Amino acid sequence: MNQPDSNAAQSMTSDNWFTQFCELNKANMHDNNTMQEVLYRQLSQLSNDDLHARSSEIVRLMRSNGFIDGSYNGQWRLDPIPHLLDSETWQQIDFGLKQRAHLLNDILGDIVNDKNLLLNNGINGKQLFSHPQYQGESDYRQFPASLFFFAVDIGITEDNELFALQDHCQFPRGMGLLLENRIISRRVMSEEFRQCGVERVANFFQQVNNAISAQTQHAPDARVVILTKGPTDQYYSEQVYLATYLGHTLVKSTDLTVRKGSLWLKALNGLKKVDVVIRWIEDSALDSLEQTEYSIYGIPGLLHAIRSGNVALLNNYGCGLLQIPAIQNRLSVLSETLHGQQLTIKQPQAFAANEVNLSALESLELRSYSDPTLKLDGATNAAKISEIMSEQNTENLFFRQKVKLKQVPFWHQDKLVQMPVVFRCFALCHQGQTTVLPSALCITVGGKRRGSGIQIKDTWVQCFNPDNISEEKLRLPEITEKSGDMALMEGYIPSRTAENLYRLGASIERTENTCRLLRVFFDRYTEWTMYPNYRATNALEILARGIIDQRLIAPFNAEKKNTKPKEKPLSKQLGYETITNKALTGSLYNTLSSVCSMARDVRELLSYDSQRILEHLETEWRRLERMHTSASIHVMQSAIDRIISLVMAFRGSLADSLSNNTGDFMFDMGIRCERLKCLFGSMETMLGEELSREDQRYALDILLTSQVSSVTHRRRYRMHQSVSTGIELLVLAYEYPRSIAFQIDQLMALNNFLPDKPHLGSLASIDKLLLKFKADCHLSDATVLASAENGCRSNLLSLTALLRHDLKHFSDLLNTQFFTHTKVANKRPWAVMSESSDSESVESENKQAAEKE
Amino acid sequence: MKYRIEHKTTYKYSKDVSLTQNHARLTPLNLHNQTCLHTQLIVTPTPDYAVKVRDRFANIVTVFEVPTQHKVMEVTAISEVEVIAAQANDLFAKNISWESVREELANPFDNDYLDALPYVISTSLTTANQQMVDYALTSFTPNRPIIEACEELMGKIYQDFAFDSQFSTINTPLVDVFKHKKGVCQDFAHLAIACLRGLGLAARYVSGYIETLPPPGQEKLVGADASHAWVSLFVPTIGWLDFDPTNNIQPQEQHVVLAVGRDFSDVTPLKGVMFGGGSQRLSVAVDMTRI
Repeated sequence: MNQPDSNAAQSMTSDNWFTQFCELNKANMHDNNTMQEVLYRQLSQLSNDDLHARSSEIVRLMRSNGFIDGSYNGQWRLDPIPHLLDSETWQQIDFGLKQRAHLLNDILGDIVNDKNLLLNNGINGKQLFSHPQYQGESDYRQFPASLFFFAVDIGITEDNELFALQDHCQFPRGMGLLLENRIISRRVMSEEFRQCGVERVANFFQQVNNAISAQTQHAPDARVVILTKGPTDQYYSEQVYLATYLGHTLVKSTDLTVRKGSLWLKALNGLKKVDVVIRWIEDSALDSLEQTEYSIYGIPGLLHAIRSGNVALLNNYGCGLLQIPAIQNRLSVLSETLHGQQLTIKQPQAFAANEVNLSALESLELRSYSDPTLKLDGATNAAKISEIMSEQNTENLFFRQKVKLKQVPFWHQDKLVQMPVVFRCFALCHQGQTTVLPSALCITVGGKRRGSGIQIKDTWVQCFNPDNISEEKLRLPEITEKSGDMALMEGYIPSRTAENLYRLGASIERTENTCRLLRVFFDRYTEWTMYPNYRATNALEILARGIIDQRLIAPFNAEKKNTKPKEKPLSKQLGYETITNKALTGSLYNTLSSVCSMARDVRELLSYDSQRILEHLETEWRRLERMHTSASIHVMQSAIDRIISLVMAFRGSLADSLSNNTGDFMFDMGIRCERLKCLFGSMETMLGEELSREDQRYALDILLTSQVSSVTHRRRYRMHQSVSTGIELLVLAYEYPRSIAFQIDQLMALNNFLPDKPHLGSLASIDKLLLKFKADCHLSDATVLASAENGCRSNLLSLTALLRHDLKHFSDLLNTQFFTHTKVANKRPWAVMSESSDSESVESENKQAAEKE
Repeated sequence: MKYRIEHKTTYKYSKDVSLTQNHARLTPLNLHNQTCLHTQLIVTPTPDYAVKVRDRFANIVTVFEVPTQHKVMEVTAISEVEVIAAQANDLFAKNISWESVREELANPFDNDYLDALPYVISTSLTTANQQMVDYALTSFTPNRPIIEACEELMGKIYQDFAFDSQFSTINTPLVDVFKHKKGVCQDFAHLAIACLRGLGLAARYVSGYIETLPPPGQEKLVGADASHAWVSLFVPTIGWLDFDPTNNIQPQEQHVVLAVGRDFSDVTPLKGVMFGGGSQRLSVAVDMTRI
């Protein structure tokens, strides 16, 4: 594949961009192409500023859908100018993909069953078996493999020849990204899209869903899951997007378990049978029990469940064989011998390594039959190639023809840049028919350009019969006799989703608390610096020490540190550190980071509006990282104000879009538990020590203000305000939304949404615990709690210690009883020849596997 | 010869295990010279699911799950097996040169060769370096009959390598075994396979049991036997011919085959995953008695 050559890439200034675009795109222009004429007419009306605005809008939309995030900043960049594929080229691609699907399925059937191709030298068995993608321990005959959907990277040369550069036969990598591109480009370029008569893609995805349903006709209410590696996968966002679009549950391997030969989803209310798995995980990493290589992404026993016919895998196990070079290099020949046809989408020529003149390698690259990582460009690595050829067995090596790819113009940093591209096309194979998705993911090749990410374009295919557009609109999903929304009826949510929502709730509450605390700190600190004789210095110092000791911020330490206190704890620097310090668990930076990351983990549950707010939160988070040490208090206060507004909006938006069936109660539980921790820390720090009357009043004021309870306290107790009334309001007032008693009551109410708990004629352990929690709190007396002895409010401290213990016990119970996905399968040491062994080596193996993956 | 074999594997964990999923290859195979008369797998705690399936290499795998919370799991396989001495080698096969076998494996023309082909490919446990290939070539001289050359290679391994149960673990690289010239039956089997595959021949790993006899005048100790490993070489017209480099013999009536594969990882007697468990300790006891 060609490397993008930044020096050679033509770039032009931004003046008259459309003239330059036409000039650069001359090779792609065709006479009598109505679609092109219409599009170009539309594009010609755009100014540079228009393009820039569209580009920014695309970045925003992609970010809001998670295709650009903190971890992969700038990973995908969708170009504001679509690529047009003329009807002639598209017809070739359409035919070529169908031809290829037919050929690939026939080859797969043969090598798995009859093996004629291996016996008559159609395919070299040794080259096939020595590739790591060939799983030698598996009996492929037991998995009736045929492609369900697949993708092909097609390169187009300047002469308009088509070459298949890479097949994606295990899962159609990029299909969700294409869908997302189309939705964004249709939004940003709605005028052009409407007038050009572009082929719709929605119908293809409907056919995918229909085909999936056909796989599960035996199960009337089949459960379909999309199996992902999780956020570490470069393509995770598209998996989230597809799960939402197709309406299937997105799961990681820890969400699934095999029991008694069937596959089950670990839902909050127990195991739910899974009927179909659409996997985004390679063949080699599917089953960490049966397969030789242990994979942290594997589901122990999955292959046994598939073999037993209890779950369908799409694409089935074994489809990865088709990507092995021993097969790929023979496709042209096999097409002619098996079907008597030349491939419409050609295969780059491959040559045995010992047949090539090593002095003429410019147009070739060296590859290996057994090492998929070996790819050396003959033009730039001639010396290395000679070295390898002299050291290695040349039987394992081959040279592949490089394809000089057509270049297309991209809008990059406000100018047009020519870049070589491939077109990733997608097809669905069902009931002997192949349906091609009428679009392609146009991707720049050669890896990321510095700072530019991978550039992609939406590819527009002209609608052959515009009348079909209206017909397709009418083609609604097939209605089957189902008994309703099964998720809603059963009330199941995956245990992992439940935990993520719980932690998201906790993170949001923590961020809000930190913001409020910092607000009070800056407000009082500013006052203190203005009026040196400020009388609340002692109370303010207690607040500062509470922050330094992390008793007022996460992790809400219960004990005072015995370290020597700072001479002057009060400083602007303390506020700055609490906002930006990455090493401080409870810093605003870390709490906000946690919100963003937890929200990304449940992205499939977020509404469009929630995602937009999340996008703004991520922007604020990035701003915190850049905040300078010399930032003024005013700047820091503004940042806190913006963040708290966004957090509140995000919280409201989530509450509006989540239902209890999708885990709203878990989200709320997270909030309540975190608020309790914060209240315990605040009570202990600000009221645990008996102070002088005046200092105590200021300390109470700081506590109430940070808990947004100052006004309520004033109104409720007017002339009788005291430590005792503060305690009554924040601990015992069960009807007051910010009191400890209220949080406990809420937890009891939310507990009712948890699935049935095992019990035998008596309360379940979690119910008993909550009852005790409530009693411990409600049976206290405000006056007793406010009383002090030897300068210490030991009754109050005893109560918070007891409640802390209850809360921890509650969290532990949630974790062990309901978050079942957290139980991860560990590889056990293998029985060896010697008499005994211990686990140390295995733990190290597991660790190595995790690191490797 | 008939044997009763009891193979007990015990896992002890420091913390509770809530679920384990296992694959046991503890059922002796039925082969041309071996018949499994009776077999039984006893697991405690009792599994709630157990089925037998055949793996890619036609081994019998018992798939079972133990969902009961436990700290100790015992898996005991009890089998009765009859073994008869293998017939003398085919005279024709005795004269086949090793190079001709190599050539035919490179271009398989029938299913026998094709089925043997995966055993030509080296695995992570059986990768030969050039020194190992050179070591094998001293026996595999040009045009030498394949069986004769293999017998000599086994004899060399037997002579040159010391049995040392303290030296290696399953993770000891083969190059270390070759360098230090010591190991256990598993290492010698992997080494022999690496040498043979390094030459382009097909060799497979065999796991099973070997009857051991106590020193003269002493009684056999209970649990003193161990599972054993040897190799099998693909020889046209015969099929697979076993060699035991640890004892420098061709297995006859004293070897009982449990499973075959490309290397140890394909034939692990008991492998599994567990939920929980903490640190763990494994012990294995094997008794093989004539009946």
